[in-house]
Amino acid sequence: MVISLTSTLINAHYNIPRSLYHFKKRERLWEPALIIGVVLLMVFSLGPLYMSLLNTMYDQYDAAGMRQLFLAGPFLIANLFGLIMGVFLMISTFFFGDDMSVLIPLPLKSTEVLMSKFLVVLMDLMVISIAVILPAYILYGIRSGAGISYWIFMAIIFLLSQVLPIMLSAIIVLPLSRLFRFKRYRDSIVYLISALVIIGSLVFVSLTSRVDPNMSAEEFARIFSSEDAILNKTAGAYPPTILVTKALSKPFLEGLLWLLAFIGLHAAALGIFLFFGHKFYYSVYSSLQENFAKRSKLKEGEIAGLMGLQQTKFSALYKREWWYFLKVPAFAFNGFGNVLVFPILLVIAAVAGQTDQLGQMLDQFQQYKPLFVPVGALVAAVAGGINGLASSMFSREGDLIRELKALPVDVNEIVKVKFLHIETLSLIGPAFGAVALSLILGLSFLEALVVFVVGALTLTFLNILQMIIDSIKPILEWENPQRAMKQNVNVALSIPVVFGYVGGLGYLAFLLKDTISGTVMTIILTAIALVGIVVTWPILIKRANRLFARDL
Amino acid sequence: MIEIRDLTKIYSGSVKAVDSISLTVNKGEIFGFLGPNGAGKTTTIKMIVGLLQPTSGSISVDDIDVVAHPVEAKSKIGYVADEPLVMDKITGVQYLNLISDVFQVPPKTRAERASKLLQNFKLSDAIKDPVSTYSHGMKQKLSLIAALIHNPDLWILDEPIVGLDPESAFILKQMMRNHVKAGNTVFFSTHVMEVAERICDRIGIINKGKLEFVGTVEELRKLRGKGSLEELFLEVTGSETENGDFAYLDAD
Repeated sequence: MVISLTSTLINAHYNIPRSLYHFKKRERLWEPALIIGVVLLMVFSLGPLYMSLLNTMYDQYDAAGMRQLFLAGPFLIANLFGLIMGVFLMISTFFFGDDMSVLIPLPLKSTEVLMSKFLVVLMDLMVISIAVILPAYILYGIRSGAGISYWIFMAIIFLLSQVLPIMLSAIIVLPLSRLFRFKRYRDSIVYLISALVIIGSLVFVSLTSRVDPNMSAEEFARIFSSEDAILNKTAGAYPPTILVTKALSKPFLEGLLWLLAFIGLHAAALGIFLFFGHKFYYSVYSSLQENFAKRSKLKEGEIAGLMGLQQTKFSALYKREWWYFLKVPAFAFNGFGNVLVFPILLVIAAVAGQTDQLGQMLDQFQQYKPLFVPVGALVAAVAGGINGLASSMFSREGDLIRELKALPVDVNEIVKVKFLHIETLSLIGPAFGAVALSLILGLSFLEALVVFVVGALTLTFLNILQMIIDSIKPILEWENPQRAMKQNVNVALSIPVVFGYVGGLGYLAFLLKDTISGTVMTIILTAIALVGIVVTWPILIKRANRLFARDL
Repeated sequence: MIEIRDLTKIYSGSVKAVDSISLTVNKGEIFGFLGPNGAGKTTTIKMIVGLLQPTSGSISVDDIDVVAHPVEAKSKIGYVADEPLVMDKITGVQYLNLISDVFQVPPKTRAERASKLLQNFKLSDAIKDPVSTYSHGMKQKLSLIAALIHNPDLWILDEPIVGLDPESAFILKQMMRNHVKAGNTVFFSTHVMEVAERICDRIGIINKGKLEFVGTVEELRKLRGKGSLEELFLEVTGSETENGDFAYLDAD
């Protein structure tokens, strides 16, 4: 039953039947070609850099006689990413998918539905493990001349590598959601709990793995006394990392025992997951469907007050954008989260850096002072440019794009409204970014202002580019709002655009640091952004008009 | 009011949903658009309101070409889709304000019209609640109110009776009659033959994308013989349902 249900859900989730239909009809072949092209581009452009980084890390660990520690990092990072990305995905898939109204009336156990949905989310998250764990573990296996048992254990660990993050978040979120019986804003509360789970995990990991700068020399020496002690210290915050590292680095029998412990942990987590699922899943889902309604009688003349204000078409549509953004938790959390998280990380790095090695690293940056403003502006642009808002400009409308299309509003007006909304939100990024960079690098007010302005202009250009990507082929057929943002191919395509632009110009600035002054670089960056805006804006308008002329 | 000439719509390069239809809907009439499922009714309506692009042919509303001047044409239309297309998360009154703003309805007019429409459709008590709390029928009513609040000359209603309670359906039919009495036009699709027979001035029957008949019910009777509109409809659309044997459903 679970297999049949899972295959149906996967078909629906990835739109496989429709893709096969188009493939058989030889239609839209450019879509898979484009995705494969971008993946290959990423692999061939970033792959060598990534592999060289992994090789260097391996060499360092090997030289220090702590080779097994090389295995800990990728697993920990992949699980942390899995937790961050998976929790919202899990919530959306488990509780807010339209398929639930079809599944619940069927004679299925809640645990069967839960397991199938879990496997769908797992498939999505395996991308992280493919990118982070697989290359590192293959490299380790080859370079350490590992035997056959390593490869078998590694395959098992790889396949299970994203299971715990989803189960852990589900185990926390399921009972908590049942506990909070907020009548209004129930869906927002569920997302808030998830955000708190992520923040809590991040704080826990950073606190438990951080070395106290006031630690005595003896304590410090004790930590570094053995490989296991370091492993326990660095991976102690997330014990499965220890099990994985030992399973893959110890001799066969001992490794097997560690692997069995790792599998046992998963079995225990699965047991708790299914127990909570059986106890809470359908009741949480059902309570999320209950809407809060007052049904209060309209008082005499009240409607005149409620409808007593006329706005322009532009203002009305702009308000609509905000309503839609704020009232769909998946959009609001992703949108705000992404513009705030990056600068906050910068500030945390800066504050933490005052006491340990990071501080010394930041001190070394002072030799690149002339690059602070131009590169800072690029960093500030990234802070607001990776929120997925611009690259899901039309995708976020979903079905409602038909409502827009039926209204007597010019497409140019719609584009301007959406542009203003995206800019308003995105500019939080450069603003916070400029503040964070001032704190880290000690920029003057004027320098920070220039970082903000140039960052904002660069961001505007990048936003327009991302909007063009989404207006070419928005993802409009979705039931789960996450599909419009986190699982949107346009968002994925825009990431290399943003990083390519910022990384390319940043690298160029670094190469030319002795030839061109920081001021000239800043002027050039501004000019590129301005010319970019002027050139790409008409393209955006044209693409949007073409989109609205299509059958929607 | 509506002028359709040689209108064709081909989906995905091969499926001909609407096949070269020509039709005139006059001012001051209720025009019922009938046809079996998948006949091309909704596709035709979506082309009139600008949601779909015609593959060929032309449509004009009040002499305004829908494809060339979509904004002007849309501002003449009050459209209710077959499935209510309303943003779920906002309240009913917020939605009505949005539509009123887009159609630039002055505050006094919108409040007066909304007040009466809400009373007629018995939606006053729910109007301050989010649309997500509404039943399908209530969403349909809200869509109707939103389509009528700006007092459009032309109502285009795709299956407007579906989902409405009997009282609201009755009120809507009355409103349709009043609207055309004032010299305006109603174009609507329906599967309910009784409704079409009772209130339509003229009907059009579309089947497999082709317009099989346009005229009054009396003209159809003259052409096809006596019978209820339902029987005539089945005959025009070539249905063999009357001779169907459904005993297999209850067989052991």
